[in-house]
Amino acid sequence: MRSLTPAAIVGVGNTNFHSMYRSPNPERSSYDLGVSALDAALDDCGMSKHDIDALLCMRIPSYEILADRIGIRRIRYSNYYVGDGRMSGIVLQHAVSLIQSGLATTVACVYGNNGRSASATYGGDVNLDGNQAYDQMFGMTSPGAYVSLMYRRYRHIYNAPDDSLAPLAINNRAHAALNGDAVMQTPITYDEYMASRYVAEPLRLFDYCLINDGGVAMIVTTPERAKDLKKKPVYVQASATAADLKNFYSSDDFFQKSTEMAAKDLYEASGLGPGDVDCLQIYDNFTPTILFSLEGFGYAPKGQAWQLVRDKSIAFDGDLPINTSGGHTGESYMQGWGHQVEAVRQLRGEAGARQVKDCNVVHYMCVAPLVLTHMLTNDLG
Amino acid sequence: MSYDKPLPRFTSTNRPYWDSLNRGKFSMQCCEACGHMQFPPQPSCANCLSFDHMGWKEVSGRGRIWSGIVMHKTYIRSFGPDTPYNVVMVQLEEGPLLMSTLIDGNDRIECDAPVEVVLDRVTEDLVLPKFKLSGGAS
Repeated sequence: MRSLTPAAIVGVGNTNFHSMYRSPNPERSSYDLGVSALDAALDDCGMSKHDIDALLCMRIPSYEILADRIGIRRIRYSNYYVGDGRMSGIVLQHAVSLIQSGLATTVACVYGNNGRSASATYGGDVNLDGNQAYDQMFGMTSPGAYVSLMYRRYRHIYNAPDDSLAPLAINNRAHAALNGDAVMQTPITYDEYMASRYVAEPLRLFDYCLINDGGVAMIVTTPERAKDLKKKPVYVQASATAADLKNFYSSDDFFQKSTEMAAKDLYEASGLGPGDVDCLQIYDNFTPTILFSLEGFGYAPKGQAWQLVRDKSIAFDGDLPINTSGGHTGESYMQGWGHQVEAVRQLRGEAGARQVKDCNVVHYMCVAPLVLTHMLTNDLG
Repeated sequence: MSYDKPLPRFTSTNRPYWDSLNRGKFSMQCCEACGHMQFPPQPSCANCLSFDHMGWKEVSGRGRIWSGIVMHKTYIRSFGPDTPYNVVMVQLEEGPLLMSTLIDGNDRIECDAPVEVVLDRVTEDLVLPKFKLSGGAS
């Protein structure tokens, strides 16, 4: 990947998260959501579904049925990715790899999540046969609780106060209020954040990702093909991964070591570093993940990201713009897909009221047992 | 009395864990080939990959709180009456990590605090390992 030509994201599409949130529908399937988003993405770039020769889907259970719904029987390649957020970055990496290796030319990346209509709770599914039964026997469940465990320890080690996450939650909501598609359309204040109820204490309600329905799609192709299309191409300049795989989700170094490994690879491969970045799209299943990400990627020294986000402006027009479409707590919980699409919109200059001025480099990062990260640019030169 | 909260399904691999607790002893799976201690119990050793040497070793019951949370939401119905309840992740002095609960109370959780196991009999066949804060340094 290091000396290969970057692939181009040429089309993006998403469903209206806000209107769907107001109208849950038990008949709404992840296939429906994926098809809607793909239709929008094809329209966005002016391509036909017949241009697609690879279909990668995430959280939509059958790539065969999805291909049938889209009516693209004779493509070259297809695959399904499990609905873990880290996979959203992997899907884009794999799309790029398929193109760079010549196995495909135009890859449709499709995501559908009917969590709200399907009454998902992201916790409480008891599996007596898995390792998690040893946790569930004490009532330990849900990804939020595992992140909360890390966050309490982070606060203990670095003397971070109880309101350390407030700037992150408030920032997401402020940006969501500038985003017509966002589930949440109103900002929150510091007092409202601090008064919100604990879920897995010390995490509060406003630290948690939303549970909502939505579909997101991206079309990725070669730079040559991109030249003929409707919009300014966005390039995946470089991408990297690193793993921290073990029994518990909670990482004893808050994913620092693995994140640093991915950061080093990314910065070397792209020739870009934190000083070159105009906007950050940071996977925020829960707000503490943003702190771990900023530290692991070197935007703040270890243990100090909570001070950085307190002291610097992280708004779209501030020092270090973060999650400009509202993130997972404000826009929609699309497991990283919304963040990747927002990166594209920012780089195209299409982000409207929340547009970062002179946005030419966006850093996407997802810190989890698999760290995923890309540098996205709007210029190959 | 019956116990209505979830439990791992009993298997030949994990049976000794429960039998040991039932006899008043807290034990961890320990590979007899390489000495690696692991939790939860598995059919093979995560260090040397052997399937044939999995044994058990009694542990001291002492450890430290790595961290903890207080669950204010009832995700698992049988925990409804207990909500809000605490969960702590304990690092035993022998190395393994496990989830449990601190019997001292939700407001007593402190990272790195020394703790010791308390064997809590919940039915005539079932004992759960819970933890309490130790008196002094361990």
